[in-house]
Amino acid sequence: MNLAERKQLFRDTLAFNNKGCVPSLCNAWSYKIYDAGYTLQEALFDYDVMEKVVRQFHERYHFDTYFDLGTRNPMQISKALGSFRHRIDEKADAIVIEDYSLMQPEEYPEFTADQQAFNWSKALQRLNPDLTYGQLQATIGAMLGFFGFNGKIQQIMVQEYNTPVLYNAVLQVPIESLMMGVRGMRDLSLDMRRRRADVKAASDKMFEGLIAQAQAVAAGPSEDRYVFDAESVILASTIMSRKQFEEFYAPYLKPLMDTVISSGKMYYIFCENSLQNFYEFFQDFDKGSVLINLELDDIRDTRKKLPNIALGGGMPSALLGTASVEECVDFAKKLIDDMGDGFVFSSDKMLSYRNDARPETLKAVMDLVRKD
Amino acid sequence: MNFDMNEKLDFSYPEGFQKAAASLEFLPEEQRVPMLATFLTLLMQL
Repeated sequence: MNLAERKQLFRDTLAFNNKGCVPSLCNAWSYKIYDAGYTLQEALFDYDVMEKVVRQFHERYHFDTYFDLGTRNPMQISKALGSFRHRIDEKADAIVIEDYSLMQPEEYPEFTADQQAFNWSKALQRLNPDLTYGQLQATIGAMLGFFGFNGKIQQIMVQEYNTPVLYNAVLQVPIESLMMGVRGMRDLSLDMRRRRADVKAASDKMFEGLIAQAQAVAAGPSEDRYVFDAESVILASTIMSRKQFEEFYAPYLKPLMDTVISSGKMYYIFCENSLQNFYEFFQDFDKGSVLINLELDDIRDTRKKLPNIALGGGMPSALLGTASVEECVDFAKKLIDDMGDGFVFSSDKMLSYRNDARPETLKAVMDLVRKD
Repeated sequence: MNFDMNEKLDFSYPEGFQKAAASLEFLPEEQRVPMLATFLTLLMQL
């Protein structure tokens, strides 16, 4: 398959018109590193090693597209910056990320008024108060190195393997950035109760840039090198009630999606944790534009609730990591049959740990959906 | 402009920000401020 054919397969799948041909989407992250025989330290701090990891994974399993191409954890930038909120724990096979807050609650107005000024004078200083001009140079150099690897690995996938990159633009709803970037999970959950107006004002301000970005996506071309024109990861919903989702999430995600979709573009949603309390939000979108990749939700049950949305996921990591090849293949066949059209084959969670799959089970199930 | 690479950054804004951008001498002059601004947006993911 060439790039255009692969993209068309996804387009047909979103429209429930893929006629039994099932596309695959790789949701493997740190697992790729173990699969290739490296440690986290070896791969995350050496882009040549990471390139080997990504190449080897694709040459073994031949997914149609990949969520991560070895760029999820820009540890080299963090290290140069002297920020140690990300820590590699090789014994636990984990990259440990601390819940943190770079902003005090009373600083919302300052953040909202000028994010660049805030990030320079407060956030950066809190990350490393002793940062020198030399360290800043090294950090910017590490950032450029990261951008260079990102561009190179995408080009390799597109040109050498005819495998499109999963998405073009990233459109994160403001509350996600507030949670992951400045306030952390614990503090933001308190802010949504105690500082509703501040959270809304910050979200509104951040949204100005986001909607402009969505409009640019809508006005631009839909390139074959990307499957989806835009993507959003839903994570902050895990700390929200339904009412909070309606106040802090839906009013931003809906116009972003509508803007992109209205021009015939395709939108990818990765739903971390569960969509169960919020699936009504997606019930009014027409077939043909949206794929939701599920994590903890039962994909068959979600299909009943959202017959208008193509769904991805469903293959249990627990099986891939522990069951026999035959059990995995039988499960995958039934999953594909049950889901029918409008389904993208993928794991039911991010493959992050060494035991989240085994090479023989992953290869066996991928042989069912492999195109070339 | 000469910069002592061991000197701590001045976190005032915009003066300290502009001085830090100017210190990125390995970049073409017109790219220094945008690159530092890009880095500050990336901070949210670090």
